[in-house]
Amino acid sequence: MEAEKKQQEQQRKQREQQAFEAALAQEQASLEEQSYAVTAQSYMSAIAQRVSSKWSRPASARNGMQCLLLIKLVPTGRVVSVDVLKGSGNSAFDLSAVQAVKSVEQFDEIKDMPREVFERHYREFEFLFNPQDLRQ
Amino acid sequence: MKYSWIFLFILSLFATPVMARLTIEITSGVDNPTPIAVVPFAGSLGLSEDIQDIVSADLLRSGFFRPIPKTDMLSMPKAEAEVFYRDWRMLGASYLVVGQMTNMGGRYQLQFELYDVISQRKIFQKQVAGTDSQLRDIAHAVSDAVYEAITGIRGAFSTKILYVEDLKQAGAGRYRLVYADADGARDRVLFSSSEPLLSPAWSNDMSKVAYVSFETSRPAIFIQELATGKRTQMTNFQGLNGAPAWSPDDQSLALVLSKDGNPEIYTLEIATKKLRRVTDHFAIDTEPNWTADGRSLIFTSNRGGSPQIYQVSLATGRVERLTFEGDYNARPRLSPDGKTIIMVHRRDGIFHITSQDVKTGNMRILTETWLDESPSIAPNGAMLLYATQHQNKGVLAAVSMDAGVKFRLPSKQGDVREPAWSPFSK
Repeated sequence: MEAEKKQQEQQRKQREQQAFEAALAQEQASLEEQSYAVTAQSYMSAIAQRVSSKWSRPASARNGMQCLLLIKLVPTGRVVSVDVLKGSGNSAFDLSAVQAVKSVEQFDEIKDMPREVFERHYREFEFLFNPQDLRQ
Repeated sequence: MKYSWIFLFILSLFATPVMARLTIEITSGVDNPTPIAVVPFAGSLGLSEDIQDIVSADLLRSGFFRPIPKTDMLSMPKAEAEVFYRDWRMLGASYLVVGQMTNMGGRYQLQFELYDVISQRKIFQKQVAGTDSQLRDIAHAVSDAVYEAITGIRGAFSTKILYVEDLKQAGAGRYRLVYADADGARDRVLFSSSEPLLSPAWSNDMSKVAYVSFETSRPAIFIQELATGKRTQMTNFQGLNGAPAWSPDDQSLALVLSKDGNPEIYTLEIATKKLRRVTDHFAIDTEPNWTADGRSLIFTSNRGGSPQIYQVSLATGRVERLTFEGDYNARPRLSPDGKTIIMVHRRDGIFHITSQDVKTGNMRILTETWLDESPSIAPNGAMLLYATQHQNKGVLAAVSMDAGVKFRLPSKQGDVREPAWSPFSK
């Protein structure tokens, strides 16, 4: 009777310990994800700026046009593919967006990025071309 | 503001599953012209016109392109097999135009190709043909095709312009009505007179031009056929006869007459010469322009105390004021899509050419100008021509509708004024 009780108590403690470790691991993982996300975010403006500086818009481009592109990179930062996920309806506008990314060719800042961040956020990501500085 | 945006962004990253794709938003770009290489076309050496030069000049003037000098080119390919993208990429070219001219018994045929250097692909291959006197037309056709493929807007390099030249020397040919290519080349005189010529206006089918001539000692409106030179006097009223504008169907002219006391707007049916009065106000009403549907006119009036732009319905006569900003807005022109009014706007004593969005009323200054004169819009709505002064001489200048590009047309003998850009040929 006494022995049985002791065993149960031990099993309960073991389960608690496991749950605690699992929670700890989860928290650790989520902390890591958070830090990856924050790191990923810190690269965004540099990457956006590079594309902005290469984006030469056609005369037909207007505020309100939007083009969503899917970009695939390799860890060196080289662009391997650019696909239009959602076009603006103006083919010259979409073409100018694709040209902007392709003319960057190589995102140098990706090279120094932690591998985990690259795998999670930059192997495949999207560019939304959404001009605010053109006429209506 | 910025802080909270970052905070929101982090939140949204956490809220989404780990592998959700990151989206980077691009909200601004450069207005740098796109570099393009136009390779001298094979077989075009020694022709009376330099085709490559004309195409490069057209593209440069559009403001959207920066042609690469031919002296920088590493190779001069004439067909796809000879195109090495890497060479062109090194030069910084985004696009490449190559071609080959064949002379077939005095008739020239140009086969030309446009390449996307960055994506390494051919965009199109086209052909255009013509005689020796049409070499400039061939060049402009190349410019039109390249411009449209890349910008999505129809090119207007093949269109024509009219303007009035004043040689400033009394004599039979002092005032000249001139017809020229949109780049100012191949100008020819349609009509000349010792008395002033004003307000040339194209018919929409491009076969005729209406203008005001003082040859009968008072202003009268004439229509002249471009092909034959045949002239018909349309009005001979007491006082002012001015500012003719063709209706969209070319059946009527809107015009200004002061025969009943002060300037009012009328329409004149060309075939029957039937006259109809549109406005009736003690103020000055002038400078009529048709809306694309032919149902209304926009015009300038000082009925509110200062010159402003109004719209009148031809069916009901109802008048609506369109401009409110500032105390001087005149010389209105509607853009071909009817969405924008271009006008002369005076601010602090200086004339500006401005554009106003018809729907929102938002006004935007395109350029300063020295003359209070009508601008004229290209049929593709991308550029406008206006008369201004340069080194004490009347010259034509152009500005893009987004104000990004400005250039002057080559200077002529005399003072150049009153430009009118043709419609597209049908």
